[in-house]
Amino acid sequence: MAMNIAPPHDVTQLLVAWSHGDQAALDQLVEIVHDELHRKAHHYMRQERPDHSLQTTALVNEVYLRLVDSKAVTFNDRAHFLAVCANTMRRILVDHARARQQQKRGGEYQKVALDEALMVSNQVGGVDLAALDEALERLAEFAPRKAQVVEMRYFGGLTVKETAAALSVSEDTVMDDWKFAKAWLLKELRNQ
Amino acid sequence: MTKQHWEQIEQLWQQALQIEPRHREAFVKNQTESDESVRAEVLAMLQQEDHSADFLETSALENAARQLAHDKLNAPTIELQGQRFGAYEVISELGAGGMGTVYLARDLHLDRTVAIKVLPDGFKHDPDRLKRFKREAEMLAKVNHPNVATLYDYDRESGYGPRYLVMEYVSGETLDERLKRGKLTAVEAAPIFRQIAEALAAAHAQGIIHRDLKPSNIKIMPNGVVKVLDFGLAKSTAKDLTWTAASTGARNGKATTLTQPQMILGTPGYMSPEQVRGEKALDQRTDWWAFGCMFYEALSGRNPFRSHTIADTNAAILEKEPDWKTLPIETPTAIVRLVHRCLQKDPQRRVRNVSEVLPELKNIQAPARLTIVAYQLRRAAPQLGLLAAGLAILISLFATYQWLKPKPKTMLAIIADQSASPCDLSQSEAIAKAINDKLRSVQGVEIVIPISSDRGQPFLMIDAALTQTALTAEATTILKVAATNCTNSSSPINYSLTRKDGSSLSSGTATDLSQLLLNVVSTLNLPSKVEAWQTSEEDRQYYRAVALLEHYVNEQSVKDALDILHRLEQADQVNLARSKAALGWGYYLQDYLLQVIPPKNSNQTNNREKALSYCDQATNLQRNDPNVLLMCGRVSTALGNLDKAITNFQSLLQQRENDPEAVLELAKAYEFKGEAKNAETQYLRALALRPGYWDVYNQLSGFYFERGEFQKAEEYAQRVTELLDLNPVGFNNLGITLLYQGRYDEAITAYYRSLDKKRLPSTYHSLGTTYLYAGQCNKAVEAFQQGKTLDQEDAEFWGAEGEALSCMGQTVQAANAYEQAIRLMNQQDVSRDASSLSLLAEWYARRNNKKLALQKIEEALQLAPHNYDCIVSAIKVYKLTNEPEKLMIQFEKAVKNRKSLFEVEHDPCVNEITEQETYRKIIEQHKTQRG
Repeated sequence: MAMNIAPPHDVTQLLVAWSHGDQAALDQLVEIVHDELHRKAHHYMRQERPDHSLQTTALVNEVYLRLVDSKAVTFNDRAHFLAVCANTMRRILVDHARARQQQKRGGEYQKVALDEALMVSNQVGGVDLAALDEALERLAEFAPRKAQVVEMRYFGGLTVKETAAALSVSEDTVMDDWKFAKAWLLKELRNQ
Repeated sequence: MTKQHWEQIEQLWQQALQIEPRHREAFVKNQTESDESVRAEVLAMLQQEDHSADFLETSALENAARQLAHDKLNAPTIELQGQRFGAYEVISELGAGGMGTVYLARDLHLDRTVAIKVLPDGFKHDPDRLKRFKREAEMLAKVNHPNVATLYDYDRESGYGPRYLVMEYVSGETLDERLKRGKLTAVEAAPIFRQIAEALAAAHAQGIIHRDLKPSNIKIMPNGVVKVLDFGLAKSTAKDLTWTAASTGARNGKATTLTQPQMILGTPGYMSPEQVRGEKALDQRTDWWAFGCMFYEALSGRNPFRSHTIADTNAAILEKEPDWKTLPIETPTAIVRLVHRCLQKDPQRRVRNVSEVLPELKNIQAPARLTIVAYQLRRAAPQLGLLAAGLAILISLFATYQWLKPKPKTMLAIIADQSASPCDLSQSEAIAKAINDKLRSVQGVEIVIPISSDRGQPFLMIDAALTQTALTAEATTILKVAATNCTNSSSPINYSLTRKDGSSLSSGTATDLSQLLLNVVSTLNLPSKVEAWQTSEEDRQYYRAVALLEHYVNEQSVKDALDILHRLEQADQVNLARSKAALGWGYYLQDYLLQVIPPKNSNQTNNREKALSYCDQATNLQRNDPNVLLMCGRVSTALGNLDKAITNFQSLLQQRENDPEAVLELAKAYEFKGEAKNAETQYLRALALRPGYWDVYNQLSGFYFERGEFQKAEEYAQRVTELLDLNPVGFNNLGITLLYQGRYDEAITAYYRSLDKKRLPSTYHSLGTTYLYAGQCNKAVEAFQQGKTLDQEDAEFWGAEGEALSCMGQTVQAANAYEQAIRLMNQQDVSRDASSLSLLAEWYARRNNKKLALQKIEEALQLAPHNYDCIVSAIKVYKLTNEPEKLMIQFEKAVKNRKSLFEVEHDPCVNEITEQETYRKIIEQHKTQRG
């Protein structure tokens, strides 16, 4: 599939521009990242080998290396880029999950109960991404940073260190937010 | 929800996480100052905690990919219904797993129900999968055992490997499902685990290890037979099987081993340390580890290592000791020992063979006396890091004393309700004390707190602190009482009786103490001897006086108590001895208070003589009355009649076997007498009796601190802060133990944690001294000045500030501070207080008033020649006044004590002398002698 990808130089410039406060640069950046991630994510998902660990980090890094001239950006710029990726990844995956659900509703699909899904989450099933997305929106109302932590860690595959850099907080804070958000989200999903 | 609610939720959640998991729920329920909705939210979050470990730990992308794959796997389900695999007809799906989907099917030849495990379509051409599937079949075929699901048949038509396995259909629930309904008693668990052990033994005998034992892989059939399922991850240790060691398959041109290094094999929470580390050479001891995890979980309801995240869980497996206190107290020793041995992190020390397991599971019955004893002893060990020697003492002690009896059903904490009382708490405390005494001898109940007499620190007299204390001290039931009227001791009493989880047993208003006792006794199903619960107005008066003496040690409270007791002395002839004994203690306290803060020109009456005389009278009346033994024993300790005190407490313990309060008093008497070994033994005995009660650790920490064993003191002080984190003094003490180890930064951190809880003057004092020793004189000045803002009239802060200013070289300001300190100290009569006298001497010396300095320090040394605080002061005074010979005498005393030696070595006023040859030699000598 032929993709219209901007050469690395442009993305690097966009990133630098954005880090200097140019909001229009962000929009362009998101667009490019979205196309690239969308393509890659679907490619990975269709490998259909649930026992083989998929590394979101690896994927995002691949996109990063492909799009950005790493010598020209700082660690913090990189962290911001990864944060953009995480948000984009969230939209791609949640859209995908919604589409899947709609498709299922037409057939005789029975939704896997969350308990069951969690029990076997190492094998199949797992988290209802659409419901998680809604819960995250609610979390963001009161605790926007906690919601961002989840977005970066879970959807973007960022490490604790990268998340901390992107949010300009300590790694301990990221871990505290992560633990809290996990318990709160799980509670929300279970009480549905 | 509002922003404010949200902040409360976050805060309460953080607080709850600081507490041991098993107490969290009760803790949150008790935070009644928070809104109900806040508590409900946090409780709901806590309930997810056990399940949250895996949640969101694999990335969203992976999750989406798995769902896609799952859709694919699910798709054929419908098609398979009614479909035949050879002679087997699929009836319905039983469950799906990564290794395949399991269907219920009918064997058309033998007309029986079977389970068929079918490799998902997507994997039918995957050589890895086919090999693993084949391996499972071969393993199952080798392990022919009643506790392992039997393999009947498998697909032999495929050239690559079987596409389906036919197995015995096992009905019933999994252990996991069973545990969701509640934990198991030892008697229920033993037969289940015996069968698991036998299944493992059979597999191990064939050289097969399971590697993925977990509760969802254990099935309990309705007839009680247990089957171990899912050998899907099993591995043979034998080398002759071609598909085991590094068998490779070609895919995408890359060689892949059967179990790839990145793959997580096993299930978080049940993996052994060696599995977590990714070691390849696993053996059967990995299975015994998982066996131990499951056993622990079955008995306690909690996985021993599970945490919020997989990373934390794995870290806990590698580093953390399980919380042994979570195991129910009545768990038989044999089982605790077994679980302990299974959960040894070092495989060398772990169970290896089933022959070590089965004997421990025989004859499991309701717990007997001896087993409980051994368990409690062992239980104290891991959390405290008790040295083997300490443990040996404990065990040998048991041979001498028989001081641990089986835990009764109800561990009761009696708390004077801090929030419901309209005025000072002495009336409520009196009720608590009376109930404590009345229920003390009753079978089936044991009083957890109060056990200590000197908890009169206002910041601990709050509901949260008392409730936390009760819960960590392992109370099963909490009784809160509150008098409804402050002056009238026969007014009605409000009470509530709750379980440790916060649920109510009963509550209401009792007309009087007798009725309250009756209500408590009937609610707790205690043996009812009505006459024993009769209490009189005199009883309540007496206990009020005791409460005033024990909880509010100030002049007014002692005076009020003495008034009450003198009235009872006239009015209550029946209980004359106990009143007289309490009078003895009261007069001692009055003497003590006058000594510490005597008003100028008070006529020092003969309080001491009165104390001794009342105790003599009480003893003559009723030598063996427990109240007499306790009160007069305390008087004897305080006045230095230590042999007499020891005899008193020993007799008391003959009557009140295992009374922690008496044990602590005995320990203190031994300590003051200088019998350190005996003292230590008794402190440890108290600790074994109340392993979750912070004050015992507090006392023990103090004991080690005074002995100069700072590291041990630190360990116990640390424990105090864990057990009651609301206690600022705990953190201050911890800081001091760190200071004396020269760990200044850590000490300062601890002080700040203390100050976060409450700004106590003593903490600023510790903080300043630490900065001073660390050579940060300006910070020391700051700390002392901050302390001074709490009490401008505190002479000690002025004096300490003077020292810090001297250290900075600000002599003028320092001189002012010393003058102020001297002025304030001289407003009191300190003629009988050695430590005040020695401080005064120091300040005079600083002001170059040699005559008064020498006079005061000599008075102090005469009063207390062995008080190390005075000795260190004397060294400073003699240094400042240039009296080298006198200095040497005191120096030789100081080096014998690690605490005072540390002070001499670090106090900026004198530390330079320790660099001089003569002094250095003396220090070296002592250090080598000490070894």
